[in-house]
This record gives sequence, C-alpha cells and structure tokens, in this order.
Amino acid sequence: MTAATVPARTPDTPEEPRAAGHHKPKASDRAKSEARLGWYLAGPAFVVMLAVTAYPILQAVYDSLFRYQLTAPDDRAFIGLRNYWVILRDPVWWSDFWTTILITVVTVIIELVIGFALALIMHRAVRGLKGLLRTVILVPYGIITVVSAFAWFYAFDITSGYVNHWFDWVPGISPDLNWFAERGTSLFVIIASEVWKTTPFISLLLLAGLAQVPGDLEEAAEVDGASAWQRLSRVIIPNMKAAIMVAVLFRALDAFRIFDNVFIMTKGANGTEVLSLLAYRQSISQLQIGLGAAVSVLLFLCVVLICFIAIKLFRVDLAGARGVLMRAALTARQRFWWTVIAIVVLVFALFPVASIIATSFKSSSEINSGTFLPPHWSTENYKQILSSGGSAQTLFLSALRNSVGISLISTFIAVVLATLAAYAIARLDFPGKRLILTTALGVSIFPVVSIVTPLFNLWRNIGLYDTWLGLIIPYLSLTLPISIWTLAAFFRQIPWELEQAAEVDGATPWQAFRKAIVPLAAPGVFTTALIAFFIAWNDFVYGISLTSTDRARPVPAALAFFTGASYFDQPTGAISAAAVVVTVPVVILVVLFQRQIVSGLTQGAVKG
Amino acid sequence: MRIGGEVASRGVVRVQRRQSRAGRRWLAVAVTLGVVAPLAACASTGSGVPTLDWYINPDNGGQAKIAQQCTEASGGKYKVVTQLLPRDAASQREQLARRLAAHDSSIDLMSLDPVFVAEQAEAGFLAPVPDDVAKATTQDVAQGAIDSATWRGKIVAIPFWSNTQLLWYRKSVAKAAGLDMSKPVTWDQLIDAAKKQNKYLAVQGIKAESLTVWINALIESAGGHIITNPEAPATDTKLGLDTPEGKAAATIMSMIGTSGVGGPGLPSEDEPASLTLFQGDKGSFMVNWPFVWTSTQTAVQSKALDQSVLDDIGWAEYPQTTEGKQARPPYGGINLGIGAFSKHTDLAFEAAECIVSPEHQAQYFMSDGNPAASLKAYDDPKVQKAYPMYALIRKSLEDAAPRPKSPFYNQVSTGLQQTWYPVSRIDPDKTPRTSSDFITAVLRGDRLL
Repeated sequence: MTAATVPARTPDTPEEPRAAGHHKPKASDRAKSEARLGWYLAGPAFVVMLAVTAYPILQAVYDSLFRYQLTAPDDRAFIGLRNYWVILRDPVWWSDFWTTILITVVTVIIELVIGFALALIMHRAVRGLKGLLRTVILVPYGIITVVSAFAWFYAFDITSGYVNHWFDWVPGISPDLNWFAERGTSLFVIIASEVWKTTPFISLLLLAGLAQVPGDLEEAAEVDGASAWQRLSRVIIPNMKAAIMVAVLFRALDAFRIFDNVFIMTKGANGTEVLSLLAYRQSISQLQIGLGAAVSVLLFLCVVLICFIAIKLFRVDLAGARGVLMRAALTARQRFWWTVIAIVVLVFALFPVASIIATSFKSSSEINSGTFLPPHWSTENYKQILSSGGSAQTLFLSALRNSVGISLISTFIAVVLATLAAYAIARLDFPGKRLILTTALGVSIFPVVSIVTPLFNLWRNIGLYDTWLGLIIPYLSLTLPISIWTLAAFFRQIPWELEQAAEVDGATPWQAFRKAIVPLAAPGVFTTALIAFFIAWNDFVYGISLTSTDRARPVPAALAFFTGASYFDQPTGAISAAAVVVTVPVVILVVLFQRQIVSGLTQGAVKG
Repeated sequence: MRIGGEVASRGVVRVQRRQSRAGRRWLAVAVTLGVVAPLAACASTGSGVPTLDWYINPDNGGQAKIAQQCTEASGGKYKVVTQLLPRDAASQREQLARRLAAHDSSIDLMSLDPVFVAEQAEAGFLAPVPDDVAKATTQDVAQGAIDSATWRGKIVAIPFWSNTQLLWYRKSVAKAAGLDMSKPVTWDQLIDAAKKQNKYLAVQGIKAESLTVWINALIESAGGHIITNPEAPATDTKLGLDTPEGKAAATIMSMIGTSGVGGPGLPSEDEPASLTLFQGDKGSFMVNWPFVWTSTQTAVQSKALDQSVLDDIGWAEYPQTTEGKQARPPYGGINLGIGAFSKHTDLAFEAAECIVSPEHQAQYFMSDGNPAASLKAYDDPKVQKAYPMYALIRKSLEDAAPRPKSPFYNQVSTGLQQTWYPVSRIDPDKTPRTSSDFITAVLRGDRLL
C-alpha cells in the first residue's frame, strides 16, 4: 500500500521543495521534540482508526472459529476452521463471488469510459457551463445511495414505473417486462444506478489527472498532424496513467463492497446477491454469528487481495509528467457540440432526481399511473411524513434528528482528529508517518460489512447497541481516513512562510500552528467536514445493523420501515417524499460549495 | 467513493482568495443548521408511571390507538408506548431476536408473527404466561389462534388477531368460465378458467415469506406437512417435502409459473402487487388476506378505482389442492409475546389482557382490516356490516393450517424460498427432493443459506 501512496503524496517529494528543505533535522533534541509533537498530534487519529477496524476484525476472526447462532446460545461450540470449509465448498459463496466480480468489472469499465468523457467535457467545456456542470455532476455524488436506489427502482418497477411505458418501442421492452424478475435485467438496473451515483467521483479524479497532461505536448502533437484520437491515445492517456490507476483502484474496491442498491432493489433474488449481502444475511438476518464472521473475514481477504494486485500494477509508472494546463480555443462548431454534450450530461445527472420528486407528488391512488409526472399533484405524501398526525411523521422526524445529530458529531470528531494528524503529516518529520497514511488507506478500503458483525456483537454486550455513540464510533472508520488524506493535501498547499516567520519570531511549533496556520487552514477544514458529513449521512449498513428503534435509527435505514396507508400498501410515495426531504439539504450544500468540494475531492489539482 | 484519491498536489493556492466568498457560505450553513437543530432538541421526558414498550408491526395506527386506550384504562398504573418494527416478518424477527439475545429489558410487549413463537419460546425469550392469563385470553378464541400460541403443550403467547387467506374472484370471470363459486373449487379449475379468458391469476410469487405461505397451504391442503416432527432437534428434523403431497403442490405452482397465467409480475409479486393485478383489466382470481377488501373500498372512495370493479368482486374459501379434499387455508396474524427480560412482566400481562379484549379486537378489525382471533368479535354488528364475508373468514380461520411450528422455522422458510423460487423454474419431479436435501443440509450446518 505504501508504494501506491508515497511517490505523489508525502511532502518530501520534489514537488514541494520548500517543505522538504525547511524541515531537515538540525539537532537531535529538535528532531526528538518534533517526533514527539508529531505523535501527539497524529496519535489520537491513529489509535481511533485502529480501534474501529483492527479490533473488530480480530474479533471476527475469533468468532469465525465457533458454531454460534444467537437464537440457540446453548449450542455454541469451537469448531476450528469448519465454517470456512462449509463456505468455500458452497455454491452460494461462489455464485455471490462471481456476481460481485461481474458487477465490479462492468461498473468500473463503464464508469471509466463515461467518467473520462465527463472529465473531458469539464476540461473543455464552454466557460459559462463549467460551474453548472460541476454542480450538477456533484448532485448524484451527494445523494444518499439508498435514495438513488429507490429512485431507480421505482422508475423500473413493473407496477409503479414509467420506464416500460417510455421505452416500449425498444425491442425487448414492453409494459410486461419485469426488470426485477431476471438476473440480467436486475443487474442492468443495479449497475445503472451504481454508475449514475459514482461516475461523478471517478470523473473528478480523472479531471485532476487531465490537468496533469502537459498542454504543450498535446499542442506539439497537433502541430505534427496527430488526429484527435491519436492525441488522446498517445499523449493524454499515457500522461495520466497514474490518475486512471488511482481512480480504478478506489472505484473497484468500492464497487466490490456494493450493498445498498442490491439490498433495496432485489435483496439478492435472482442471482443478484453480492458478498456483502451474504455476510449481512448470515450474521444479521440468520443470526449465525460464527458463519457470518467467517464470510466477513473472507470478504476482507478478497479486498486485501485486490489491493495487492492493484498495487503491483501501480508500480508501472507513478511519476507522471507535468506541465501547464492549456485550454485550446474552441471553434464555434466545437463549442456547439460541447454544449450539446454538456446538456446531455445535465439530463443524465438530474433525471433520477426529477423522477423521485415527481413520484413524491403522486397520490396513493395514482402511484401506479405509469407516467413520469403525477396526473394530479398531491402533497399527501409530505403530509404523511411531516405533518403532525401523519402516519410516518414520528418515524421520519426522529430518524432525521438521529441522522443530523450522529453525522454532525462524527464529522466533528473526525475533522478535529484529522486536522491534528494531517498537520503533523504535512509539516513534521517523525517516524511512523507512512504508517499512519497507510493505515488511513487501509481503513478506508475496509468492507463495512466485515466490521459490522463483530461490532454488533460487542455493542450488544456493552450496551452500545441502538445508541448514538454506537453509530458515531463506527462512522469514524468512514470519515476519519478521508479527512486525513484530504486535509494533509490541503495543508501542503498552505504558504508555510507564515509559520516560518512565526517561528523566527520565537513561537514554538505549537504556537505557530495555532496562530498562523489554523486561520489559513479553516476553508480546507470546512471542505473536509462537508465531504465527511456526506459520507456519514450516506451510511446504510451500520444504520440498519446497529440500531433497532427510533432512538438511533438514521434516515437511510428508516426508509425501509415506511408503510403505506394500510399494512400491505406500498410505501412508494412516502419513501419518495422522505427521499426528497433528505436530498434537498445535500443539493443546497452542493450548489453552494461545489468549488470547494471538487477541490477537496481532487485535492487541489483542479483549477477553476 | 469513500476516499478522495489524491492525484496531484500541485498548483497555485487559492485558499486565501476564496476566504471571503467562503465566509458568506459559512453563514448559509449556520442558517441551515439553525433550522435543523431544534429537531434534535425534542427528547422524551420521563415520569413516575412505568412505561411499557410495545414493539409493533407496522399497521394503520390501530395498535397505537389501543396502546393509548389501555394506558387510559389502567388509571395511571402503566403507560404503553409503541415502537415500530420493520415491514416484513423476517426483519421483525431479526430486530427482536437481536435485542432479546442481548437480554434487553426494554422489550415488554411484542407483536409476534406466530411462526416465530416457537423459536423465541425455545430460546427462553418469552416470559411464561400465568395460568389465569392464559385461560382468560384463550376463551372463545379460534382454535388456529390458540394452536399458534402454543409450544410444547403450553400457551407461551397471547392471541391478538388472526389472519387467513380467502379466494377472491371477479364474478364476471367466474361466470364466463361457468364456475359455481358456492361450491369449493380447485386450483386446476382456476388456472383453466383464467387461461381460457386470457387473464392473470394473482398469487404471491415473490421471494419472501409469502411464498412459504403459499407452499405450506398447498401441501397442507393435499394432506401433507412441511415438517413432520416439529419438536425434534435441528439435526433430526424430518421434512415432508419429497412426498406425493409435495409433488402435488409443486405441480400446481409450476403450472402457474410456466404457463404465463401468473403474469409477468409473478417473480416480484407480493400481496399488494397481487391486489393491483386483480383490480386491473386482466384480473380473474386471487388468493389474499382480507385487507384487500378495505383497500379496494378506499380506492373506490378516492375515485382511483371504478365502483363496477368493487361490485364485480366475490369471495370463497381457499382453493383445493386435491379435488374433494377440504382446503387448509393459510393462517397468519399476530400474537403478543411478553419479553422474558422485562422489568414489569406482571404489568405487561395486564396490558396484554387489555389489548386483546374482544372489543379492541373488533375495533382493530374495523380500523386496520386485520381479522380478530376472538370469535366473539365477529358477533359485533359493525364488523358484520364492514365485512360482509365475516362468516367465511371465521370458517376459514377454523379450517386454516399454520406454517410449521419449529425453532428452526426461519431456516426452513428461507430454504424453501431459495429452492422454490422462481415459480417458473419449479420442476415437480425434482424441486421437492432438491429442496428437502438442501434444507436438511442447512439444518445440519453443511450448507449456507
């Protein structure tokens, strides 16, 4: 892992000679105090990261050696590796394994292609459209995965959906097509929603990479008569290999852990079950603690393996060339086409959102109208979740309260810890720096489901189950690593002369940090907080596994509890309305802070 | 997406320049938070009266209303507060079992699906029911309901409401097929009638508990049982799937699945989807719970459905698997369990007695469309007016066969759902055997579910 992260990232690379030059150890006591300060600052974050991941995984390894079902506690017995033996011989494991691989490979390929196109559009786009494009592209990124899954599900659903009516001219699609009855069509919708939701992220990473391509090289190639395609394949792509690799690795690890969409749309029916869902079903649904722990451990090993393979690939070339970004002047015709493409992107990015908004205004009697827009606009669903006396009001409002509270607190803790750690990483020389960065990366690729099983058990025993704290702690495993990475990058760009000056004036490193750097770093910290908040806000697995009442249940988990007007009625409308309510703040934040979020995600490489 | 990979760390810093603009945005965030924060401030306040937490399955608000009524009736002795469980039975079990395994004392009362009563009783999660309470709450109660609350010869839970499926039919379709619906009909007749008129038969083919409900009713109606020795330990459990009765059930399901008479929605069809199909132009026959009656009436009142559809709907007892053999309709409903770790089990039993009073059952029947377990509730004229098929429901409850009572019910049911789904792939010659082998291996711990 270290190999992947070090060349471009640590401050002592040649990219930042100032930083490297300034902090050569001058005297051994100076070096010692620096090392001590480094660990004071970064230590807490390091310990928390280890505690929220290393401990649960060790617990899982231990649990996996037992036969243990929660509803039959007296039957608990040590059985060695038998659970692994059962799993690895079982066709269910292998079919889930290959389904997961299939989804991962297909999504990553599609996202790479579309993401690259999007990056090119943003890179080239007509000036006026650029901000708009970036904002719009961030909307899917900010939306809760569960909400996006519902939006896609309702659009394709055979009773409430409109896709069949719209596309019945396409061969194979008719009003009678049940998308969720066959493996192929189910996977199509699952992959489509995953692509929609996560392509923005990959395209931003690629955009950052695109900015690394030396403009003069491209220009030279054009002068030499290279076609557009040749320029792309010979100049642009080779020059941004590193960016592509990073994007592919992160997305592949992420796609491999896919859970939310599958859970919402099919619950794994028709051969769509993935490994995370299998682990969830064994430990959380079947209450088979031993078997579930074994599946979690195996899933974790798979992720480590992918990482290992990817890092071997990384070794190829990480020293990408750099140069000044050049924006080619566009001819009128080009401008027209780029504008057209940009509009297509806008529609693609916003359509599912529009779709769920439209559904949320359908009355319960018109929910199956099969049209996109409601035949009659009705606020019935909003009354149900918001007005006093609405059947889902207590459910929704308490979930909203939990989500806001838990996400804010865990964001706050993560940002405080990460700020200290990132400062130490960006500014100080101390042994173990790489270890911390590597740990952060390791924690961020952890399959959430692997942590959930042991945590669930531990929380039950110490009384943290179904409490705010019981969610805040595991949320740190999601928010802390990215906060450390993002902030470390921000901090490297701060003009450190200020700190130097303060130190020359006699300030200690701590005073220099507090007085000179903190005010300058605030915007970066704020951006990090936003991104961390989105991630905590998006969580579903912890939410459904570690809560059971409205005392701590967050919104994404609560959506699954909605009911229609009577027990058997579909809660389509209420879920859509709730989805809109929780999406609006995200969209507002995205619109207000798109520039900061983009630079946070791509860490300063995108110029505006 | 959880990590923003840092690709390059170059470029001119614009941090400072952005500061003033960011300032305004800070304000916007502060405003947003100001709107949301008050929500976080509402926390519940405690009082001296003991609070009983009642974990309920989602409904139309009827249980919450009863909770309130019983709180008032107790005269300050206790306060019943409802806590919502998830929608489907399997997730309800998950939530409860998880908390009970942790010896959670906050679970006083639970609305339990009868199929999980055995598991909870066996695990020691249910407080023993005092004899006087058991006696008082099983008087004039349908036998099926009493059976569902019994484990190893003892009443372990308190019957609250009972559910059973009826055969709902479109009078026009039955008439065109020349079926005499006043006499029992068979599945074969229904399939034929629907097919000839190019209509769809509404059944629950989704991979969920309702599929087990269907399989069980078919096998029981043929005279068989899914589990033949329900009280045996997991490794000795004997299954009655690979039998002539199992084959009869598989034959009917396979016919519906492969002939297209189930409609394209079959693989994802649950109870509400069945109703939508039945109300539509291609509706013919449907097996479903009585909630469909209230639901259809509401739809007509809100003008979403034509009155003529309602007028066209008739009802009869569940179809027969074998001609001439009394059908055993599905049994469902809710029993009240008292948490073994509750701090107020005595008060909880008092509250339970209040909740299941025949008046409350009748009231709940009316408000939520869930039939009463108490036979007395059917004498209520308001019930008789709202449910013209009340007598049929009562009869169906008496004929109904519960799903297997077993501490391993969940494994058996999930195993069935994995091997009998999709309905179109059922092979009457193979499916009963493969599912029997599979479930046996699961119970022995040799296979993953």
